[in-house]
Amino acid sequence: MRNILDRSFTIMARACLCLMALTLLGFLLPIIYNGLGAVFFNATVEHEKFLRENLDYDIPQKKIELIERADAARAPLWKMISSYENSHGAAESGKLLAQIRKDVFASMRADKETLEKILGLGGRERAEKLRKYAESAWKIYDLEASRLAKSEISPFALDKAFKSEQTSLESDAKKFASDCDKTMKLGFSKRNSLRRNICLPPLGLMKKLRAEISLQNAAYFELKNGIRELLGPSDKTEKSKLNLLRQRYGQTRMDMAKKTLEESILHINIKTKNSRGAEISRRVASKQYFKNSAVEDMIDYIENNFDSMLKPHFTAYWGFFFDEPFDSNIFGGIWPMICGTFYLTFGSMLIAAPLGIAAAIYFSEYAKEGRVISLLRMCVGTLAGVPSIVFGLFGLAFLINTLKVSESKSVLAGAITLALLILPTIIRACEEALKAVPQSYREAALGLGAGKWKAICTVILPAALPSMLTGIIISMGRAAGETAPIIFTAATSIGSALAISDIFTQPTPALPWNIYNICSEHEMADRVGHVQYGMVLTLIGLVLALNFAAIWMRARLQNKVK
Amino acid sequence: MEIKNNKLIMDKSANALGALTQRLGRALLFSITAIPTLAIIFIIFFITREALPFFSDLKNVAEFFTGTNWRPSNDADPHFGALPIFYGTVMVTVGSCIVAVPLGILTAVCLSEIVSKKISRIFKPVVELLAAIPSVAFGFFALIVFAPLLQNHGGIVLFGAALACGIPLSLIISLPLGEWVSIKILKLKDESAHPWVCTAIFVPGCSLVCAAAAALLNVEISSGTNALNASVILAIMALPTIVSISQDAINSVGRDMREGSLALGATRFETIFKVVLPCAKSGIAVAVILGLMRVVGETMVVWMASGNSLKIPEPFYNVLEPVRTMTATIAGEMGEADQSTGSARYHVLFAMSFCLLVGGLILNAASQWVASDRLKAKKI
Repeated sequence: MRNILDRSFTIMARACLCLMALTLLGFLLPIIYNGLGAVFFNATVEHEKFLRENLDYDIPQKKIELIERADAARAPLWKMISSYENSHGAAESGKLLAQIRKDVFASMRADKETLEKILGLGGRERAEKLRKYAESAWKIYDLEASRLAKSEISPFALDKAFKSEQTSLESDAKKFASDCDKTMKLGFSKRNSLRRNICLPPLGLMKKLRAEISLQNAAYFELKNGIRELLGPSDKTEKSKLNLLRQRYGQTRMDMAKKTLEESILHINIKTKNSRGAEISRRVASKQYFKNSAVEDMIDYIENNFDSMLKPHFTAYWGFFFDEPFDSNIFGGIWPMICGTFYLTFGSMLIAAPLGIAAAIYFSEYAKEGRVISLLRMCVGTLAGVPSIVFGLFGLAFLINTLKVSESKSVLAGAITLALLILPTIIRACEEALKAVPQSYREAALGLGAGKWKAICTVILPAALPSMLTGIIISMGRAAGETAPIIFTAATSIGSALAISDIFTQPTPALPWNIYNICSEHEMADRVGHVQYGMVLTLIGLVLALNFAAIWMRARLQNKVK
Repeated sequence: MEIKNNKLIMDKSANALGALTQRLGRALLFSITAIPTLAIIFIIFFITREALPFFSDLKNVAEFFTGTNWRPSNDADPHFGALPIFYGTVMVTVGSCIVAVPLGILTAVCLSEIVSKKISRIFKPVVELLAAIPSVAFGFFALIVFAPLLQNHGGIVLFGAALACGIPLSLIISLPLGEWVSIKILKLKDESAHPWVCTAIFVPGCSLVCAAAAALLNVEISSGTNALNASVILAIMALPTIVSISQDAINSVGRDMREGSLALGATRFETIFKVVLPCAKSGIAVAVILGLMRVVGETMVVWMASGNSLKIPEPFYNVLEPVRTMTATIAGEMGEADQSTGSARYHVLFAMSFCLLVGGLILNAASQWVASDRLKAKKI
């Protein structure tokens, strides 16, 4: 009985151990796998285009050919789009409408008497009569427009024709009214009433027709945006008009391209009216929606020529570490953040290490146990227990608002704050290291006639240095990863890599803060997934590399002692 | 001194100079050593100074600790009820302790008592690596990996966790309970019947656990960023601290104690529970307090994983609701209050960090007190 209990307990405890190892693995593996995806991935030609045009990369001839071939494969698609948008029937029917419009105005000009009679009436009656007159005059025009709306001309082109008709109707009405004003001396209110009412029926119809086809057009635009998102703009003139980089290039990564195809091209959001007449958004398969139209051919073309339009090829983008970010990290690398983390870590180390070593020397070599010393020791422990966010607030209230070490956030303020944070760890590690130096070393040094100071400098410190370094390196790792203290003292979310001369006055982007920022506050978080993972992997890699170095040093030290 | 040509005696001035530099050097070292003390004093002073404008109004203070309406940025009608925020902190802390303390102590026991030295040496770096991973990376994991998992497959995750905890727990409870029942209540003389009693207790207990787990299978989690997520991730962060410090404590229990216990016929389980752990209890208490401090002071994980909702969960133990903690509030709102230094919001956030600081100092004092108690006990 007791043995069963013993066994089961043993098994549970081992399971706990395994759980811990599994936790570490389960934590690290997805980060490593996805993080490596930021550097090694299946790129599309858009990636090379971006590198060539923004970062002056030398793209090998082979890849340039790839880009050209991809452009060639895209050409038919752009042609389909432009022919859909400017279909010939629309231009002709637009001309037809314009002709009818001119005829109607001519006939109204000819028929002056009726108009004069109507305009002679007063107020409300006048407006009503005018409307009736206009209705009968525009009958042919309205019929023709309604016929066109039901014809096979693409709604996109039709909308364009109707839009231009709308503007010309308005301007013609104005002109007609002012012409009548000149011949009949109408006065302000009559002229206005004429202008407003004479084209009312056709304008109302145009509005109604456009509203009907606008739902269809909205769906088409949605699809076209998806295509833009996938492939980028069609030519240079269109490209030069766009401001944001994310609009100027298509998807640079194959995984994102496939996602775009699935989510923005094969499926789109359309607006329909529900039974109560309110507009609702609905998600549909776009092929189904555009069945039997030219748009369906476009979608088919994209699906069938997906690879040849994007030319996927495996690439290792080392620039991820060394390039500046573009368009809030959607393109480019993370160099400024790495740089900022480097400044902050080394800055805090330069401040904290000498102080820590000096304090440790005092504690282990000079201090005699007493009340003052135990108070000092207690304060070291207390400092280690202060929450890191409180350090950040302290840095803000003391260093920036009171001492004014810099105008606002700066690397210097951040480094001092971080130095305070890691000081207790360094003091403890160094003290342990000094205590581990055998007493015989000290006695030998003193016995040879060295002063206390000399003994410390020439014998004790060198003996303790390796294990001191171990402690310092570990706390460096901690400084590199801390976020809370630098939020208010040093970190900014965007910016380029700082020059050394700027570190006293300027804030800097830093890996930990930007990881938070890109995860929680990025406007297009789903487009920068690889960058998120890449940044975290970089930070963890940096910290773990420091720790491995420390572990390795300690192991070597232990062997030496043996 | 009288023999002027004696070269053995140092020049008076050189002697004085040497003594002076010695003194100066020592004073310099001392002043450097006092930096942590100064830093503590300055931190307390400045946090208090910035918090005082808020605390000086007693009505504010009452609302701060009891109100539930938190609207510090509303200039016309500001409200500073921080109770949900305090409650969120407590909830997340307690939640992570429930996960981390048993797990951490068990792991420490396993590392120092059960597995061989070799395996324990392999595992030491694992614990250290877990401790070294930056908190923002944990926050990232919670937000990007764990939260979607909870949101999309919450039922399965809870089911698995309930089974993994419940079955061993019911086994561990049913074994001693069965023995106790068969001896004290049923008064069975025959020892071979005891296992049957234990089984009779274990089977319904286990099926109860399974039923509870199956009920969890249908739970839908509306938001992946909630108190549970934050608690679990914080527990993982606190584990290394708890494991390594309690391992030290357990290791420092003398060999003679263990051997005595084993020689008297106790099993390893009994030795660990009745001898080793009681001996190491103050060290383990220190470990738990330090782990707690890490959890309370942690910012990035709770900011990213807790959901930042200003409501007290309904019912109060519902860990699947989003909460908000003090650290997350400070980190999230100070950025906006920063520019208008001197605003009510700026001061109330400092007041909150003052509470955090006081809590940290109390916990720290407690840990040092327990540790010094232990030292004294050892000396005796």
